[in-house]
Amino acid sequence: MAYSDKSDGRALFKDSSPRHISLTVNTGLIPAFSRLLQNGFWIVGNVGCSVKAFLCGQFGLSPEYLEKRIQTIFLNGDVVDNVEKATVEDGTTLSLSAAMPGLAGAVLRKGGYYAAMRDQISCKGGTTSASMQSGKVLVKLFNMPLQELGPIFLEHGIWVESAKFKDILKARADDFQKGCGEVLADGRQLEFKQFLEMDWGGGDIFLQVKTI
Amino acid sequence: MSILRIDMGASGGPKVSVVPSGDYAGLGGRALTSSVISKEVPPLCHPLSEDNKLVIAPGLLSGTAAAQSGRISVGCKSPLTGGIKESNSGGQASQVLARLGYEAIILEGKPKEGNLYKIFINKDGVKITPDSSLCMLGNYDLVEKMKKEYGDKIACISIGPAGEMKMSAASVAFTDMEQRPTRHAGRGGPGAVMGSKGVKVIVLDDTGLSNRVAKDPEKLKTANKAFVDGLRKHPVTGEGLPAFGTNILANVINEAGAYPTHNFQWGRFIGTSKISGETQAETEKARGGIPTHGCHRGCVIQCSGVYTDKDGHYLTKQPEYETVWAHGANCGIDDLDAIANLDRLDDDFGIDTIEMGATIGVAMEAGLAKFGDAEAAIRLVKEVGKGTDLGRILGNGAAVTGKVFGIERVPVVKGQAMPAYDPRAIQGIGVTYATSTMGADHTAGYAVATNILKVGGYVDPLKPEGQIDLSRNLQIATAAIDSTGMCLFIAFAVLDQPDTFQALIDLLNAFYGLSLTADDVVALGKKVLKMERDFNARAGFTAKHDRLPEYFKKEPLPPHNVTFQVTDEDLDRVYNW
Repeated sequence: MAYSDKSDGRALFKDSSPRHISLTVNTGLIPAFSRLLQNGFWIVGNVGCSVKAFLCGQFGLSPEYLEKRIQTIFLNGDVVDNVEKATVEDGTTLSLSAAMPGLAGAVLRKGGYYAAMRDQISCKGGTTSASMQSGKVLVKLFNMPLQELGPIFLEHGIWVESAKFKDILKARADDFQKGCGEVLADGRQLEFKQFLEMDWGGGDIFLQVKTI
Repeated sequence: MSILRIDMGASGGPKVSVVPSGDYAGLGGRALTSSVISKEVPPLCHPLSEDNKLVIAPGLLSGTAAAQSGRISVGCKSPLTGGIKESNSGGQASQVLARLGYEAIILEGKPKEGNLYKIFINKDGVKITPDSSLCMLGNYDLVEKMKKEYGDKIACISIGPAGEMKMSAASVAFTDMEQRPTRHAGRGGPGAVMGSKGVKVIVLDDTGLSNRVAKDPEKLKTANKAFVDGLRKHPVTGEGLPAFGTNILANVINEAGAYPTHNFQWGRFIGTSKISGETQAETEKARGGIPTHGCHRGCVIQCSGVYTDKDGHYLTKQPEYETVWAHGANCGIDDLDAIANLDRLDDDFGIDTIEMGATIGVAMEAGLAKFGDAEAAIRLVKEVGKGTDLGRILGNGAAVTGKVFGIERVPVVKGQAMPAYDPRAIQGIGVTYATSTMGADHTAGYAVATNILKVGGYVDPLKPEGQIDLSRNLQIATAAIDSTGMCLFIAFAVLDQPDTFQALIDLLNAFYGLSLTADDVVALGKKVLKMERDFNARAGFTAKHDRLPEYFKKEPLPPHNVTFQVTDEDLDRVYNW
């Protein structure tokens, strides 16, 4: 599965000084980003299109993975049944999960047999735009997609709040000190300790995490 | 197989009779417990009286080599709901009891002198001894004491202090593979009924006994292989549940806006990622705990785990989704360690984690503690264990607590607290909460395989009445699977893989030399539900009891701002078959 970010999206963020941070870490540190990926991160792409066009057409997700692996999808909290009709807009929250256990899991499943049991929260679909525009989408990854897509999104870059990212590093500072290789901040190479102590200011950062 | 009846109220002390199965032959799990309660217990009796009975029944394939066959059912007239109750659990007891040759243990009567008894059962017979040294012991200390006395090959069925105090939220505990009292038949207060019988613990020892032998061992082996293969290849039973446990649901239900928060005031909890199954599994791995573990031998799904504290010491089993929600989001608590501590206390005192969490949520709304105050929640649960006046109120559940403290928002049906899915967001589950014979119960309509089982024929899910029909069919299918004693989680694989369902039928046929069909299994489910419904009607239940609390129709639930919209007339159609 490939992933290609069509834009770094800086122009879309009002913060005056977005920064680009790139880390190279041991594979064992990837789970440290789990909560950040569960809570959601921004990606930038062309919006006004279907969920399928957004994920498969722009971010290289294979249609087969979307159909078979991602069995539970939410668009702004509404349950998606048809990935070709549900429309991704600027500012949309898109959450991706595998098939879930329990009656609730079956009920929330994409196009599932028990869909009638949650009709009030089903996504009724939107209108895809003839001319797509650039926009940002908040993506949340849960369970199997968290494990499988998380490292890919991290490698190719995500937009996150700098404060939340710093919290992750602080919580496991010793582990990162040991397991972090190259640290680049706006292209400048730093020692991890120096990086952690510097004043990051507020706003969002564009984060890339590669594994050693 | 025979039935072990113990009359705890017999003159001269408890009297044991081993009797043929008779009318109950060929029944297991919920089918057996509900048959006995329906036939032998006066529906209007007091649940803690001598007329009530406690029935403990393994599944049809328990004690065999069949995978997932280790569920055990506990039945009685419920002190919490006043209706019929079947509550089931994992753990080792089901397999051991079946190998000992018992289709069920039935505790009857009530000791007149108020003694507390232990019951030891092995291949040589049954020994019942009064033992006052067990009085008010927590389940953990109790099991340790039994291990010293009877060795470490035993399985225990026990109650904690809550059961002795006959609290309506009291559970019956079952030891797991490590002989820890972590698996519970919690719902509906069966522990209080066991306490009323004066039985603290039943110790089972199957030393010298082997697995039950099938009529056709080769066919059983083949069917079991197909069954296991089916479970392992399915993404839910083969990947999601083993990796993250049942708490894998937290993020998803939260995203759906159906995760009851602060005593059912909202459908989303801001701290969900801190207590999700994903975070829980990572925490366990990082501390040397175990995120993938079975609750009994023969489990291939392995949805349980071991939760350790920050120093890597055992604290409790991996708290289940319902527990994490009940003590977590429902009480505004986003601290996994605090939730694990609460789970440990619940298991030790012998109380239902769902009922307790819902009760603490009501207590928080009443001002007994602030939402999010984990220390206060722990203090309140400890009140239950000590049996203080406040503890006795809390230990009798959310409905009693709400009444005592004058709270309107009390999430119960038939007196039993709702589990972790808000029925306003997922209305079909609300139909099951309202109409189940058990009170609000997510597992009453859990067998998501109705289409494969062909229960109720074709249902058009696009029609409004679809969710009534679906709920009915789910309840029938669930009653059927509960009656086999198989773990309900097999339903996910059965839902998507017809060959896995066939393998289940083949297992039953191979073991008993039968030619059951899917129709026979469905017919059993219907029969069980009819019996239960009939018992409840004789106990005084009417259509008015098949309702959600009024506030679910009036208070919109954020973020979707929906109310429960299923009409009373539609709810009354669930049992029109």
